Amino acid sequence: MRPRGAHDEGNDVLVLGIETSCDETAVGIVEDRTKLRANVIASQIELHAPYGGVVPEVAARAHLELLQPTIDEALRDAGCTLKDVDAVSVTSGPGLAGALLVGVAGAKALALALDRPLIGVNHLRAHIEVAQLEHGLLEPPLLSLIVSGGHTSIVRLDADGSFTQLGATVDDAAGEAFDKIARFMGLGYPGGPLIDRLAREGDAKAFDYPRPMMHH
Amino acid sequence: MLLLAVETSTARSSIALIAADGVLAAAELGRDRRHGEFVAPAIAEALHHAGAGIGDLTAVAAGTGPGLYTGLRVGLVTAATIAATHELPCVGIPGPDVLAHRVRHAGRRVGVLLDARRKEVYLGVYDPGCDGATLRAPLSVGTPADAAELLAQDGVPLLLVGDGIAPVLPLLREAGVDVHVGGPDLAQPLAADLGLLALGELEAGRVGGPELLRPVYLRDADAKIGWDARGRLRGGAAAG
Ligand SMILES: [Zn+2]
Repeated sequence: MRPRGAHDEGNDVLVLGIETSCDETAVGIVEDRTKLRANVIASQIELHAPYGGVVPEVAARAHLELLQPTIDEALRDAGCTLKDVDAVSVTSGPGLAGALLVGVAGAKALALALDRPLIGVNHLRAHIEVAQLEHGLLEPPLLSLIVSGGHTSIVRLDADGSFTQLGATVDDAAGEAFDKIARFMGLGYPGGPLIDRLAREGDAKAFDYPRPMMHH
Repeated sequence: MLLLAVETSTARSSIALIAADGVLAAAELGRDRRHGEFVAPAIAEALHHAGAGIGDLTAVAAGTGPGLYTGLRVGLVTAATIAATHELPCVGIPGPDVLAHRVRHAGRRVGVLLDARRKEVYLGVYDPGCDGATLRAPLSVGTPADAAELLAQDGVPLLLVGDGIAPVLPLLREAGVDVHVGGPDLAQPLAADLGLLALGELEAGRVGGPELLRPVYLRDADAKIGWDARGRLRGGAAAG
């Protein structure tokens, strides 16, 4: 064991987080839960673009190649070394199994190599935690609406850290729907951001869509 | 001298610690799709029993495949991460080389056949020799018929090893080839054998950084999977 405060700035706790659940290899280094010291994202958009969507085996292969360079770059950005890292965390799911496993196995190896604790983190829980980087520490219990490329969910986080998904879209997440429509319209990949931009210029009243569950 | 060897390219995963005088500790698991749960704890346990710490390692060796992609990546990312963290020299060795090395004294040509799923096999053809087996042509992947044709072409006696023999053997027997078959102890490459083979590479100075621990896939990432059949985002089964 290493005495606390052995590194430069007193008692700050540094956690290195690894995320490989879909098509981005990402490594973040966070100090004391709210200070983002590094946030490096190696995108695979160009690798998947020819297929119009994320190909799981392409993603898994790219994660294996990108993980170490992404860790190295994050350490450079944060101005620290692996010896300064107090814990390793990793997205444990949900996500593409083969892609997740690269990050999980890499994180386990890193924790073993550094003799530091490993913390597996649910990807949705991570989405909530990210809000703290902008808004400061959030005190559970709390409700969160998560709208992202892969998820559209309402989740409850309790004071004991337990985590319940209260509801989600039955088919695709909002982001997936955007990508699929973009592909259908031949807008290229990833079309989500493009749809998002086009929608701003559109007429919101052009079609009279049903709005379920509005009156009951 | 303490070498960590990791071999996870088949349905069997294994790790070993090799000292200058041989295997110090080894562990293996013959359960498919459990590589991610097995490898890191097995390394920790082996180090513990060997009375060593992760900081005592002096080199890392890993199986580079070809094999089953997901398991293969678990072993490679584990080995590469440990090597990168402690700046250790690395040796990468294909699984067929490990199996061929074990039967280098057999006195007949060796065909290593490993299960490649999708009704295909990986093939490595080796000439035996007391100093080691020599790969005759680059490792390949193909149907059992492709493999049988390559193995039968010189009409020489063969020894087959690996977990992909079953679909190829009847084709060779039909063609009248003189075939011996290795037992279940020669079905899959093991980390202990890989580590012993890697010792020679280390002594010969044929080492490098973690970039040597690159997978040999032999097939492109399956780009033929259509959009509709692609894996949807699913619950965290990979967490372990
Ligand atoms: Zn997300």
